[in-house]
Amino acid sequence: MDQEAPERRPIRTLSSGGHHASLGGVGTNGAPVPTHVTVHLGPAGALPWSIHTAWRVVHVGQSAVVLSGPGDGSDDLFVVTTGARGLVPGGASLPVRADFDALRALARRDGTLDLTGWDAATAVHPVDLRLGTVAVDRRAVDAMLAGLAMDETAGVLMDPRPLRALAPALAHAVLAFDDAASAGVAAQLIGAGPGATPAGDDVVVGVAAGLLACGAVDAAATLRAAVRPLLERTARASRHDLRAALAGEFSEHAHLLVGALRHPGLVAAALRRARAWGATSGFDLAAGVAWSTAAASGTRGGAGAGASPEPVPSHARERRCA
Amino acid sequence: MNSPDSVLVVRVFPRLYRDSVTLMALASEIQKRDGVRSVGAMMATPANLEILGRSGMVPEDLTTAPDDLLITVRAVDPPTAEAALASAEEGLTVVEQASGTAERVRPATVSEGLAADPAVTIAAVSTPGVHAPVVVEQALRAGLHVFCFSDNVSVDDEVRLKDLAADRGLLLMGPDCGTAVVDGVPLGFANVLSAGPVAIVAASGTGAQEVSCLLDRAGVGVSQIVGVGGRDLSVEVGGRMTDLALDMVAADEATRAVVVVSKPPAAEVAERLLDRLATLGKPAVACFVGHDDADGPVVVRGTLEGAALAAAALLGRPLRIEATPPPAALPPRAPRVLGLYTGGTLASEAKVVLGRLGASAEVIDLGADEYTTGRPHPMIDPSTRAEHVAAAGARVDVGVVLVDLVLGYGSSDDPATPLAEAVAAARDAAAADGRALDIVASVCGTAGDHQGLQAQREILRSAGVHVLDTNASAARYAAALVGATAPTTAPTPEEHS
Repeated sequence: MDQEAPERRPIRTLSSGGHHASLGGVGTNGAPVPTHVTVHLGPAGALPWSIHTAWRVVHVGQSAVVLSGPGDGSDDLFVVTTGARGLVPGGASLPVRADFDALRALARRDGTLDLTGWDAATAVHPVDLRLGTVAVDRRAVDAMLAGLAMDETAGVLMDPRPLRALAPALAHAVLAFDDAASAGVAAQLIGAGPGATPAGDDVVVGVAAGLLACGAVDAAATLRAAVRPLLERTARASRHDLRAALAGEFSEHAHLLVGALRHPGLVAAALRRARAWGATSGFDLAAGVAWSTAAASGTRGGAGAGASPEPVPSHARERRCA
Repeated sequence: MNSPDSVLVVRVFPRLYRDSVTLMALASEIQKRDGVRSVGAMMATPANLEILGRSGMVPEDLTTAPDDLLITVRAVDPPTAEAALASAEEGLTVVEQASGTAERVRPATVSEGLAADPAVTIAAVSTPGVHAPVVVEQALRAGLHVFCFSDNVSVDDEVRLKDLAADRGLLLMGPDCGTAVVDGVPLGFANVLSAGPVAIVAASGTGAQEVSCLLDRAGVGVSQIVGVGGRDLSVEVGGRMTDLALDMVAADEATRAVVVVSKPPAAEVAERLLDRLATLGKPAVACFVGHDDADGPVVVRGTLEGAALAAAALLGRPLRIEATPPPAALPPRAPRVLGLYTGGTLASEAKVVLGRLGASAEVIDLGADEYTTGRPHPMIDPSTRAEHVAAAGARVDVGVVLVDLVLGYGSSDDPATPLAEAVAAARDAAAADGRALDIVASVCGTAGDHQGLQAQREILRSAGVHVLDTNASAARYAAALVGATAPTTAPTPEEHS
């Protein structure tokens, strides 16, 4: 996370999603070979599907197939998503729906999958999911906070908003390099709330993204120190996302939200999309992003729901956002 | 927080992963059960156990791991609580495999489907076309009506299978059938419609959607929408399934009026069909897109909009279409309208309207086979059309882009956003080149559709798109923008006849 992040490559544009021709063939191992794969490369540039020859099927959803490495409770996850769902760290995304459906059908039949044949995919598009600094427009931050304040989650079961309200406290604590306070707030968030990736975890991932977007790498290091000891207190899918976030890598969802902070005109569409990410994950993530960039940039910060604590002393604050 | 007049039951599913939408929906459903006080469905992390513990929703001695799924129910008595938990477990619909894999059980063949539920009456077939005839025949021989979404089925197979179906009194909707609503159950692309008196028999999916959605705006619901496949009124197929569908809706007590929607059939088929409609015993509208309007024993209309106006009038519920005159002062622009459509019959209707007004136009049906081979239909994946719209910004001969947006079951969850983004790109490109470019759209949908009719319209309007009431009115507006005959008023509701 301390390393300098390169300029991020385009994630997905209108011309790169869903316009490819036909379903690929069948590999020598029987698994369908997709035509196009967007992939986040593993360590040393490894293609994630080649890391194991027998991926265990953890979950088969409408837009994601979650696979894990051998062994009960393996933390080695490989998440294959549709193009619409977007790429996640250490995962692959199949922009052609038929390719995803073919995988989905196979995952239903077998307890394990050998995807090494994917090396023969027609085209593999590597994507760098590291997050670099962004020219944040304070008006966009305020627009995102305003949009979040209008969330209609009120009254639903397991309301995630009390967890979102902890985002400013966490952001201010890490920006003040207050290790004790950071650890205390993180402990309230990690593993807390509804969802397969608990809402509190999504908030933390959002805070990490916001800090990096603002170039607050030292505060991000404080966050990392606070969160690492708590990782075993959450579910493995969430642990996977948190580990990636602490390493500076984020899902396409997070990139889209952070990218929307460049201009207030981009925020409404980004929040509309975020609303569709999981039951509450998109807004949980957005809360983390918005409150951390607000705190780092000195914008509205304490206004509205989830009011922030005392302002961060200026000498302790990294203010990298414009 | 333990209440003396309630009981708590808890079930732990070790290392079971379910996505958050599933968990929330499950909890919400259980919460609605009579006698259930509160529900928790969460990952069993220490933080969540603490949260649940504070509200008395977990016993103190519970042993779990963070990867376990925990469902906890507090209810008025043990039977209620246990029943709620059993329902939750069923809701997860899983078969636990030795590896811990969770797999949803779904039948893969007609036989498996019937074995799983002998009460089923319809099979939906969407296998690749080359395999579809075998599956359709299996379903028909098993006594099932068939909704056949598959295309690329030969005409010979279609005729043979429709004869087989008709002999058994079964509907074969398709092949290449996109839309049906049978006894209130939507199949394929369909909208959320209220029950009502109009039956629609359609050789056109989006044609049926446009007519039914316009009727919905007039407060007129549908009894049935029976798709018959785009070739049913061809000479080769001869309206085999249209005949059977008309027999059925004629006998249907809920149906008071009938609309048939199709591209213009072969002349001899059309003549026979109009004779059949005239003796149906119920008032009927024949919508043959591109045909001249006629008011005989059967009302004939050449546009979807015209058919909806006529059908609404038959039921005494006039349909009003908002008049939208074009701006008084228009910047000069290229004279051509480019139609980029996801709905085939909507594209046909636009061609008809633009042609009648003398507008220079090129209308492309992006749902046609040549654009969809090996990729999703653009109503499912809007990115294909968005690319075409964005690219239109570079066309110096195009002054107006005309588009449809089809909502409802099966369509993309948010088709407007990628379209709006593409519109911005197209307009930016045109503006950079010093050209004016307008985008005109209509949204086919109802207020009940999950995408949100008004929300989708608003996304388009926010992007500067002119959003009209109907596809036909959008085409008229587009024609006016390029200087073809300008509409000054919208079509008026037809008189009750």
